[in-house]
Amino acid sequence: MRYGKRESMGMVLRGDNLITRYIKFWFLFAKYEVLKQFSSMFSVVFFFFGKSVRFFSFLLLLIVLQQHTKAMAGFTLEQVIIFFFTFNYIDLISQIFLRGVYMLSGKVRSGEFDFYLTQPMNLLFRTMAGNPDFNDLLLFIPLVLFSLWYTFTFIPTITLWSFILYLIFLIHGLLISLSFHIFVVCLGIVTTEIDNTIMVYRDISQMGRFPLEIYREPLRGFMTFVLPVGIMISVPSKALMGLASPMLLLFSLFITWLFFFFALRTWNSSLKMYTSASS
Amino acid sequence: MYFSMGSNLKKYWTVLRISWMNGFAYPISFWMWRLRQMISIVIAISMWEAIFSSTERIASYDKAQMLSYIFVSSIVSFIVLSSRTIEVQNVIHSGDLSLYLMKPLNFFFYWFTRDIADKFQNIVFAIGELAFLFVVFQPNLIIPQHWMTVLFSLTAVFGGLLLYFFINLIFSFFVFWIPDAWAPRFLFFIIVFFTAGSSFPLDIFPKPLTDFFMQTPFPFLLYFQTKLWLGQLNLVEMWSGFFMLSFWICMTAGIAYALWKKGVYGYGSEGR
Repeated sequence: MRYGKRESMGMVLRGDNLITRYIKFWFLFAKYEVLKQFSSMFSVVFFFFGKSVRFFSFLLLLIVLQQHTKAMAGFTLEQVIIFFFTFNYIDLISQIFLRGVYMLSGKVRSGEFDFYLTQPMNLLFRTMAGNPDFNDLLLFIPLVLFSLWYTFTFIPTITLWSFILYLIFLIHGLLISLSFHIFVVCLGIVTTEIDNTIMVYRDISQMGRFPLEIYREPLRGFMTFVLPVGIMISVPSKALMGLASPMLLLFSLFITWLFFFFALRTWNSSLKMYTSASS
Repeated sequence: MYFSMGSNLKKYWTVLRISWMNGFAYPISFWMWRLRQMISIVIAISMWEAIFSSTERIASYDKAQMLSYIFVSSIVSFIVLSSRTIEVQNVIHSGDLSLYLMKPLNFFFYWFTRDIADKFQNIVFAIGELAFLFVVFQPNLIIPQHWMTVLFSLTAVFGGLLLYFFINLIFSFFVFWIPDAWAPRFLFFIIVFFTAGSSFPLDIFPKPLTDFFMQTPFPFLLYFQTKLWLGQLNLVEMWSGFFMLSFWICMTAGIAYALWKKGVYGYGSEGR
């Protein structure tokens, strides 16, 4: 692989402010990952096909259910599909940007993580954003188009304000997802075990494919106050459909930032516990 | 002959014991795996409970039948869908296969023994988890009234785990020719999730779609076994199901063996 003069780290660092510098870093990582991932078109095709099958098979299940029943826990099945779209947005965006988390345990075990410690870059950023996944981007674009068509066709109550609210709380949902990934990274650094932990997050987030109301207490409370996957997916979806009260929105803002703050504090603590045992 | 068989049994017994212990090598990963199993059942049961809060029936199922189906299919999936054969592709890709070829072990038996150890582990821990979920959700579990139903169901479960073993080997053996077999396996997992009937019975779909699924091997991993246990198949459906299960086992075993012979013949052990 040849790196041009403009793409060298030195050029990235020189004279840029912090945000521009990190955006350039990310594009640099992205370029290498695109080259790596698309070097095997065979894999790209299978991953794209697999992810599409997963998306459409679940949608098919909901459509089949629609023929038997009109509601699920007080929501119409058209509304349940909005929850499913929101879940997919958060899941795919997290996959695209935070794929590095999945590779951390190998790096901790092999000692490669020590190398990151020596680099002049935020370690959390390097760990999480270092391996963006572009297989998910291929699915994300058609998902956006399809979900926009579906939403404006089948949910006629949407207003400009509710759409803006949706975007605001979708970003907050992504912040919760980021916090979850930070917690997983912390666990990986301390224990070197990450594989099933990140998959537990994926499974728990899948619980958000449905409205929170389908779950019994105390599970529902657990998903709201302890592991806020309910807030991550339910609140944006309800905001879009005009079903979220101002109190719920304020509460979710509070929980989101509290969770994020707690994740960052845990990161700082876990980094101090890193022993570099593998090197 | 006696000594040979005895020493063979001892070898594979050792493999079984080591595989059992390996399962606990990374305890956090192990418990997280257990947690994942529970989450998948909680999601499925919660979804169906919510659906049945606004309707009496979905296709031919009432609430009790559906929850019973979910519970039984979860037990079957713990047994059938747990496997270590996913590691075979790494063994081939890394060049480590040459080490296995030098050992006085049959490669297929070795991995099948490891699979059995994994399944035992799943069964032992699943008992406690399912008991907990049973107390929480209190489904109306259907227990077969006739011992023949139990016998046929257990036979079908054994067939299902053989089928899953051979399918997994086929995907692993692709690595002999392509560097990354993870992508086709990912697609396989997705298809299995949807067509094996783990979270929902396949006969809730329109009949042409169900008939189409039944022409593939995937319903014979979980769906057939669960329906058999619940006594929801007549004699014709049961025997045709066993015929299809046997057909798919023979077919996948034949393909796996052919791929293995061809793959090993040209294997260069690159990577070591």
